[in-house]
Amino acid sequence: MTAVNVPDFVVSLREARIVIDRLLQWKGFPAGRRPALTEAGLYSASLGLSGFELLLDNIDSLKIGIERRSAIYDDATDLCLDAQGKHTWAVAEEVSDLLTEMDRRQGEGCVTVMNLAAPEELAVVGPLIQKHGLDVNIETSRSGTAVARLVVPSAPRESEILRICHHGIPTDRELWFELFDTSNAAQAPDTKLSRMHTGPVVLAEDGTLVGSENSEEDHDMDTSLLTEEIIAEPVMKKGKG
Amino acid sequence: MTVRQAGSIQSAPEPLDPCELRPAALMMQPERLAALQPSRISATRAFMQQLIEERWSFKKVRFDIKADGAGEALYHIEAPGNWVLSVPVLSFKPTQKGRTLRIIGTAWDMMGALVEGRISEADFETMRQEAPKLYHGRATPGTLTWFRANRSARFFDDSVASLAAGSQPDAEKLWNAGYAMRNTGVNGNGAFGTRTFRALESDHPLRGSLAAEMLSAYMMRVFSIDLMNHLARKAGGDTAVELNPAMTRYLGVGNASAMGLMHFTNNWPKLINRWMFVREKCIARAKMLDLNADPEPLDRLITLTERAITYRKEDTTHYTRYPSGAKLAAELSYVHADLCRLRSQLKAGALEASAPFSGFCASVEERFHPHTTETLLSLMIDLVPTYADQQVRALIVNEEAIGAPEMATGELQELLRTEYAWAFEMDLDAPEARHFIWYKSRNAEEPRRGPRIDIDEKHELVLDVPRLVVELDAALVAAPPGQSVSRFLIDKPDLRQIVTRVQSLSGLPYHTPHADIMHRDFIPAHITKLLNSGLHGLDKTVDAMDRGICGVLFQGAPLPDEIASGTADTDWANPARPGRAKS
Repeated sequence: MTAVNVPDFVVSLREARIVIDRLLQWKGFPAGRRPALTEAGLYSASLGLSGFELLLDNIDSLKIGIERRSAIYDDATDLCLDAQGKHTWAVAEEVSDLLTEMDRRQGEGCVTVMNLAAPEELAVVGPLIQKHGLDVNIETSRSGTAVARLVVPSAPRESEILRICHHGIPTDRELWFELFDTSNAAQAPDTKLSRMHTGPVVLAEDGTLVGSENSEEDHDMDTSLLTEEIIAEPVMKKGKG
Repeated sequence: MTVRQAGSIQSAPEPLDPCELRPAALMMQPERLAALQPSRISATRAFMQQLIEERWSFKKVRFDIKADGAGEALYHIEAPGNWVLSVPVLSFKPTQKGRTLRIIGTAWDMMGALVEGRISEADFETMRQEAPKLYHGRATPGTLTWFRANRSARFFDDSVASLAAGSQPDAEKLWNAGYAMRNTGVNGNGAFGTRTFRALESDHPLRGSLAAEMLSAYMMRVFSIDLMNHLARKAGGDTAVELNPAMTRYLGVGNASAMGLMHFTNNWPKLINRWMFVREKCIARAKMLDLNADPEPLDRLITLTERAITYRKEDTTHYTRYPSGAKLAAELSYVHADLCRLRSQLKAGALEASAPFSGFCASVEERFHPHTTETLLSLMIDLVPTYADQQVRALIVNEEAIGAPEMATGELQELLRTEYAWAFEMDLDAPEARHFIWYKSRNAEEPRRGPRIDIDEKHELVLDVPRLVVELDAALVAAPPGQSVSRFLIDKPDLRQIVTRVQSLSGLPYHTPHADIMHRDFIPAHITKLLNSGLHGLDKTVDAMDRGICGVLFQGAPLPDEIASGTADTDWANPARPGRAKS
């Protein structure tokens, strides 16, 4: 029986990361950028910002101007980052990095971010920078500008990543499985040829199984799984035996 | 070269070992990684040691399964600290349709769950409905794993028939099979809504790395034996007998792995490093034992070697790429003879070296196959049992990758050239060097590797470490002098993943195999074997087509009653072949 205050459906850290990363891969984002974008999307969901509901929209918005490089304008103490119209998720880790560097060098830091799409999402810098032991205050305006300022960490509290580990991210079951199914498009289509790319045996052109001859166990298989053009998803047809 | 690991030990500080660890340049070669043998710090053995010491108890609460195999079972497990775990099991009538040892299968003979507490009827019903949906199912709160297994085609039915007729199974068949059921998947750590292992409480009995997976596998074994005995009684009635304990103990759990473990190596570099580091530390400590002060470890090593020789002699499995049991047995016999000579010298007071194992191991390394050397070294870990157990139980690793944005690019480049020298030595532009692509299939998320010409590169998944390192190095050469990494990454955002990884793993010697895994000649089975044999502790790891490894877990391990009663034999590994016992 579900306990009081426990959401009906929660997504784990691992699941959230996998699905966001796959959606980014499906949309053609370079592998080198995906982990940072995934973390921004993860925290957007866990903080209750645009979350999973707008995940696909955000990923589409991320493509706008993604090829542009952010520009930095230095001041004596503060620093301005021109996001060049990019989505916040594309620059969130950059902001976290710059603040961390300022902290390490001078013990304080502030970054003003301008020309930012979806500036309200800059709150994700808060959990992003926790891995460096830092805390940040974010002020945003509707004009596409936001200010991220390092603050003295508040009383010891559970980091956002640990909170997700413990409690997951509540969401709608139907929405989640739609995202899961959509993200699957990042993976290669299942074909007869592709099925030969692993396993202890392969199907030769003459229809015979070739490979390990160690044991009959290697051949304990329904060979239609290799011969059929399309095979079923891994789901038991009957729930109960 | 000597490697020392700084700042990566999470347990209490300890004095540095007065001896050298073996260099990553040797240890991270794929061929050497494939040679690492099961040992006391392998997951199966470390977990079994924990069960034995803590005297966990196992209770079959329900076993309602029809003669055709369909039905349900339920087990309760009690661990120290008043922890209770439940294992609800769904048993199915076997079917050939959709059956395979690969994860693209659609038919299993059993599905189980490992759940915290005494599972309620409502949660059992949810599991009953959800588990068969697998990727579209949802585990109930408190679930640690879902797992599934298939019966052994060559052993299960024959054995049930023998037991039903009042006889023990044919010893030859039992010996050849080695298991009654084969693992076809264990999912946990957040998959399907299971608990994230990092969130497990500090006193949780399954907090150790791979502990939940190992208990799941052990319960497959428990269930497989119970099912055989149950079906034999159903068929034979009063005539039926139970499988005798010696034969039961010999049966482990089958397992087949392939490309997925390359992904694991990619995604768990700190765990790989830490486990390798623990292994090397244990070996180094054993090599330094002063036999003049205490000769007992030498007697112990001789006994363990004798046992290993017998196990290898009796292993007639045909290994394609790895040395046969006969070859290893023969080489180990020479090692055994040398150890006996060492004992004679010790008894005669003719041993001058205070730590003779060190030179002895160097001599073995020079004369014998790496698999023989690593077998000996794995046995030597048993000479420092307390230290090894303490180390392996502290093996809880946080894999979060954390960069250092304040680092200067010059420092990052120096780090690359020091720690990734192996990558710069490779010919990454050779025509055969980028032959393969690693990916997963839409169906069942099966990890695969195929020629680049066959698969669209947009599906590529596994990290190409050497090429990324070389690419990063070239970009760093062109970076303004004194630039920080944070600003470098604003200019080069596509390099963020490799920069963070390199920085996060800085100072750790054993995290990445020194290999071009895209190369036409790279053999994935080497890495699969490292994980299966060394880390997980599977025995009889047979290679297939250079890409898959089949083996057996828990062969010879104590039975639940023995664990609970405190009569379990801690020296269960490398069991001798059981004879045809009378029932």
